[in-house]
Amino acid sequence: MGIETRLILISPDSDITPAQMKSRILSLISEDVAGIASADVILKETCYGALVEGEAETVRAIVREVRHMDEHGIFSKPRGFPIGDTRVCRATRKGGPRPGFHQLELEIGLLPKVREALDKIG
Amino acid sequence: MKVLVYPPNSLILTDLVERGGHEAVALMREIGEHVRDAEIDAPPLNVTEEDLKRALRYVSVEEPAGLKGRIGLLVPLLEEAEASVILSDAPPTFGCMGCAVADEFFKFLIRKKGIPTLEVKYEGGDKLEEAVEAIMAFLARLSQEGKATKSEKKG
Repeated sequence: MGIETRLILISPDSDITPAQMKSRILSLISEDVAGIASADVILKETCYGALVEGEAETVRAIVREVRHMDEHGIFSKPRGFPIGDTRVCRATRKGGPRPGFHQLELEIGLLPKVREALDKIG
Repeated sequence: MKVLVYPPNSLILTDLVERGGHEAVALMREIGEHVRDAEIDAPPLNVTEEDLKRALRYVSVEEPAGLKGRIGLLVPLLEEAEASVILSDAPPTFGCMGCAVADEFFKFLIRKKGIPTLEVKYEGGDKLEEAVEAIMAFLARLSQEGKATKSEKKG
């Protein structure tokens, strides 16, 4: 499957914090859930949640486990660029918003509405 | 089932498809392959010859270079897709659509392919719940049809 980078985002109305999520992922690695410990995983805490990079299956296993913290309040999507890629880094691009920031900003604002709908569906 | 989402990099659509038990066919994976390709110097600014060859299967050579480049990048998603979810009239910040021509043309290509497609209109954040319910119902139907097809093949 190859290497995959994933964004894990927390809905603004969730009680979970990015630090809690990071701790949970680190504990998953140390507990070796679904063989995660043996895989090379890069984790970065961000303002909206976390970025995870590793083998596609491992990353998906992490996302599945993390979702249990708040089933309808944690969202995820793949990301094209690897973590720390200088081509999209604000420091090396001399400032300005990160590519994709405005799209992420709009969709994060809509996540509470998505949660309401998912809660109704059950 | 492989479900194409459009806008192709939408967080909400990608997440809903994965929640529905399907594989989301999204632009990010295609970009990921391009940026990890050692032959490309400064992706995704460079369009490769392969991208243009793929685009020319669908677009006339007289079309603007921008359209060919965008369609060349999007076409692998279309070829892989077994179903699709389109959120039409979404604001530009909901997900990348390239340019207006590429947007219209790619939606036309999806409809022309004849795969099961759900088109939901974006009517603002307040009415998003209805769209989410429609998408989840569509994905559940796809799962049922997929199971039925598998059991038919076994039988």
